[in-house]
Amino acid sequence: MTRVSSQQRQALQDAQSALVASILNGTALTRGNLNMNAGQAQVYRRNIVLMARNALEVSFPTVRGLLGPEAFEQLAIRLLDRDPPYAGDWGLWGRSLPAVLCRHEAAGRFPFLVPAARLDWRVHCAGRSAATPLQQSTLQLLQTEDLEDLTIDLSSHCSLLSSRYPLIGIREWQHNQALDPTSFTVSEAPRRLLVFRPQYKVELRYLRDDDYQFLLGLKQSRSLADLLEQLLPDGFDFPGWMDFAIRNQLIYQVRTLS
Amino acid sequence: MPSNQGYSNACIGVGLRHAHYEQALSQPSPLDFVEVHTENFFAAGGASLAVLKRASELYTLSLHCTALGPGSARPVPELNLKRVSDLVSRFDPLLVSDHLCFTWSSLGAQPVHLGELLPVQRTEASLDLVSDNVDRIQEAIDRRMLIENISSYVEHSAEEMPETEYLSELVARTDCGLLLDINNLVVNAHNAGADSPEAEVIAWIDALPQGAVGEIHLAGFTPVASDEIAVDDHSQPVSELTWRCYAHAVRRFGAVPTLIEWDNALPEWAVLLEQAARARAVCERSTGEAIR
Repeated sequence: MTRVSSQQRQALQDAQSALVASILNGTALTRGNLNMNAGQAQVYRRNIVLMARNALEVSFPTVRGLLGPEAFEQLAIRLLDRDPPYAGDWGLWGRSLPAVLCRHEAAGRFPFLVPAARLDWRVHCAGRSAATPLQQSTLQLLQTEDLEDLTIDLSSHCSLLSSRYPLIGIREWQHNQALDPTSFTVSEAPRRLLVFRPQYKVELRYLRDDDYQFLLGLKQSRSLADLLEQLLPDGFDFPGWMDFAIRNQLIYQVRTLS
Repeated sequence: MPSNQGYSNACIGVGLRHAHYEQALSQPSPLDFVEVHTENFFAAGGASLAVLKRASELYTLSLHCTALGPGSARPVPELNLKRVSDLVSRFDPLLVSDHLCFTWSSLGAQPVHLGELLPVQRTEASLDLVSDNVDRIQEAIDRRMLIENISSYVEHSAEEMPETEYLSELVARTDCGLLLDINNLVVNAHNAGADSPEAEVIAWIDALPQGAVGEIHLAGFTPVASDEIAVDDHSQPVSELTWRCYAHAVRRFGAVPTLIEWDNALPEWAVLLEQAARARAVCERSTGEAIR
């Protein structure tokens, strides 16, 4: 049994939306019993910008390092105006930052800015994802079932990236900024990258092409037989991969394809 | 059971923030509890939950929510409520609290949550709404929650219900408790141009029903000129004015759990412990005077 009627709730919702719009615009509002002048709206907006900036500093440390504090805060404002947060958890906000960076003036000086931002976000998400421990019993399927009918589900923290920039070096640059960041250069062929979290710390690793193709195939739920038929002739080491994958908690489960 | 109980009859805690994890969690400090912002531990996995588990081994926890927004006309999503209730179930905190504010809203059809504590209009209709929301939250967490008074940067009209009356009625309707934030009162008194902020804060405290206050927050803010807007930035030591009002509050409400909050320009952990020690001394002295 609720006390407030749906009409009253709607009227309150409209008033609260008006206040939010004024705060985001930094403009005065007079509505019903409430008065907010522009200076007061700016106080709220400033608080929100600071929280937004602080949140993005956690999730995009490389971008923060490359842009510096002032440009980074301006970036936070751009994102706030374009995609205001809606989840009640600042840690979930920022997915669209790489898209905002596509048109950022610093992208000319740092052409790797967007892929670096994508890597920052992947690392951030991997660090927050639920632990999905290996379902040990499902490994038996490898002994009993036809590989044609089997695939491997990777842990939720695993993701793949491909870039012609040395993204691991660029991400590590934030810890040792002696190097000129404009010296990171593009390579002929794309470099394949695995983001994963063996325990609490997210790790990054460049992959050989066959390892990358194998992981990509698993992400696409291809059968083990199909993938091994494609990759074994070129020397893919499946037992070695399984050993690495189990030690680093890359595998959630082996499962039959339905 | 954490071993930090029983330093005195007072119950004094500190807000635990990321910068202090290493110092605070390497060995227990002389505190009765630590308070964390619940939303910082919403992640499904990773290091943050391990940090909270470690904190719970050393200290009694208090979960302070900053995002549920019980004043929101747009309903709090079930998922967020579940995240809070899951943490409450898992860590069995001493206290669970949020603010008299709204956070969930919309721009057109787009949902928005700005992460800021936005003021509610103190009308009968909004009191009905907040009461419904507090009922829903308390049902979800299966315990009493505390509602904190906020610092507000809007002007409330004289036609609105006084804040103390509004909060008292909320307590009567929902059986929630109150989290008395004295620094927020000082900030509001400054921003309202009060002739005597101290008198205003004390009158506000005296207007609350005895027994309603379940926790007190103490903090400091960056000083500004009298004609400038003060911002509740939790960046300074507790002011002398706030200490005096705190002494008055514990004489009135007893030795309720008291927290030192510091969120920006964080000092060394030892500075927070000094502030906590002072709160303990003020609480013991003032409640002793009240008993005599």
